[in-house]
Amino acid sequence: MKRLATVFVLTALALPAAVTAQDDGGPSLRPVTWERLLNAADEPENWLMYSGTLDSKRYSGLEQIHNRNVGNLELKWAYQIPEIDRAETTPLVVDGVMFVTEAPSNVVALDAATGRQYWRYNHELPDDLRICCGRNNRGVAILGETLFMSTLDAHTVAIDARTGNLVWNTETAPHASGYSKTAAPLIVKDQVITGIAGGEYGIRGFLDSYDAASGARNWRTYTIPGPDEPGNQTWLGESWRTGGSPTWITGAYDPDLDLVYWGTGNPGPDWNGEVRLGDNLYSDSVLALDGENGNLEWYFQFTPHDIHDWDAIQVPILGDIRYEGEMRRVMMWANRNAFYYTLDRETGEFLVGKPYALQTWAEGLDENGRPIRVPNMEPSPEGKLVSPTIGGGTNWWSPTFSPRTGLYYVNLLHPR
Amino acid sequence: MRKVLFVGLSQAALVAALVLVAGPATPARAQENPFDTLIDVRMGERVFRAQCGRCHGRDARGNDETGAPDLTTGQFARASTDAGMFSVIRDGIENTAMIGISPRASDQTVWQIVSYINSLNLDPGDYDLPGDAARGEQVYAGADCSSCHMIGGEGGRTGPDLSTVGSRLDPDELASSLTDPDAEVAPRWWTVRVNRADGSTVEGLRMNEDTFTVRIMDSDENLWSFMKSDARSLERIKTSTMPAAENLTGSEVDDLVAYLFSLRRES
Repeated sequence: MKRLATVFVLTALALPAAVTAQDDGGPSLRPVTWERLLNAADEPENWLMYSGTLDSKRYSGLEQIHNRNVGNLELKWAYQIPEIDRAETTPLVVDGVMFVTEAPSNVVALDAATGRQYWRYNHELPDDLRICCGRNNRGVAILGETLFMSTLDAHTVAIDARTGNLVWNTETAPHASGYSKTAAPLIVKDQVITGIAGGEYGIRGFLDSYDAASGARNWRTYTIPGPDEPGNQTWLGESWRTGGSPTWITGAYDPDLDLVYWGTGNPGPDWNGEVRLGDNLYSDSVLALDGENGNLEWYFQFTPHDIHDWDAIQVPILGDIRYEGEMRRVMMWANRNAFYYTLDRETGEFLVGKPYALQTWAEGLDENGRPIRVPNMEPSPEGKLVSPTIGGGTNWWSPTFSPRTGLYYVNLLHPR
Repeated sequence: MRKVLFVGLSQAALVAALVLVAGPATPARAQENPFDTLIDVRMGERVFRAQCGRCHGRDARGNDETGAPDLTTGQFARASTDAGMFSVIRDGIENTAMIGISPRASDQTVWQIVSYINSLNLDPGDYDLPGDAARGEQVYAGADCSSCHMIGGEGGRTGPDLSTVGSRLDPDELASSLTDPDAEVAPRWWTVRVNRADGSTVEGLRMNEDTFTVRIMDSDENLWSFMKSDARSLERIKTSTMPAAENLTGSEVDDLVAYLFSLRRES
């Protein structure tokens, strides 16, 4: 179904201070330093990265709109996206300028107060793209005065935030081999951390780090171990070469632990597991990578040997909560497989796991968080009803965590 | 106006071309363009201006405000071959403002438009330039062009990005824009002076404008956005902010032209 490709802005009362900054000297679009990104929660009038803050809580510190006045919101402006296609972007707002990405791989800079355009960057694309799920882009990252964007032809581009001029354009992987990119990158210090899509096209997934200034690659960590690495034996024969395990949503970062957290998608082929017998590491997992070099520090696999397309492509939320009487650094994760998990994010230790949506495929989770499968739930020529659906209990949609209520919020699909 | 860039085509070739045009009927959806002579280019240009120019511009350089892409680059988002371009022109692109050409237009006409668009991508081999690109790069640095212009992400923002200027402008146009920058100033590079209600004035390059609003970049590269109704008055200055290259010698201009013309898209 086509979605309504329009960005609506609703405003209740006066506009936030930064949006009207031009009244006292012009909207400055100040450079977005790493310090600003570290402390993004201190600028609630801005939205400086995909999930708002590095811990991905997606929690707004603004208090102007609340449950007693939300009914009074009225339309302030509407910006119509020129190409009717998927609109799954999270706009950034930086000192009164809004950056919106559009299908297929374009970005537009708008005045956040009026919705009118400053500039637009249209990425040139070849006509032999291989994309499973629509032409799509989910947003940019910003560092300094440069935006970073993934493109459908599996490039990463850097764009000048004031003009839309192209700064650099790096091919991440050959698009003709099934690679594509849709997710917003994550900035970690001077690195652009960015994933890959193509789990339906026989790729071997990875997570990359690029130097923000030059576009040169710092490191690449494959999400499927190679022949000499531990975990490779979890793939039958040569199936690891084309086993998917993509990284198509934005991860999180803990600056104290210097760990990058990223979810991985389904093993491929999606539903025929016989050709890739084994747990298929590290598909459907969360990886904790060293922020300096991308080395794998720990992993947790939610769905070993997935045969239902239940990508662990969810945004990891990092929080410090009281667990069994002591404060723990945890990661909260409602997975596509219909289980909710709390993990210790220093070690990957499994703490909590419970179904949050209808599921019929597992009797539960064992003490290590590994699912105890119900027999005979594999896809078959005759058909087999399983919950959750292919769409999952949830999907890539961002969850949120409120430090005020201590609650985790997530959209879910619950078949009737 | 853009010149058609088929240089050195002899009378004989022209006659041959005319014969070709009168040749057999086009096979439906041919893979090779059967209509690619100079005459076809001219015929295609005529149709393009009438049918396509409203969105893509009469010079085919596109229009940011309508979202119609620049077609002079030799690279197209939706087509990598002549046959692909034919399909886009004939059928349009679903879910975009790009509609297909009238069903009454013949395949020959569509191929001629393809030929016209192909003719817009400047081929450096067509030119024998007096200047030297390597020396021109030094002239560029010496004249401090990068304080206003970007190449490959390096430089200022108060002039056009020159990273691929050689794909857009031919050497004559480049020379003219250096020696007589006011001759033809794109609206993007006009200056807009906004006299605000409080008596203050903000002036900058016209980034974007519509009936009710205008957005500009001032000389410090700050972005501004104004509701016209909030301004006391608004002035447009349609000259270029670029100084004419009066301090450069003729050969330096030649070298600079050669350098700028060498800046083009990767194919």
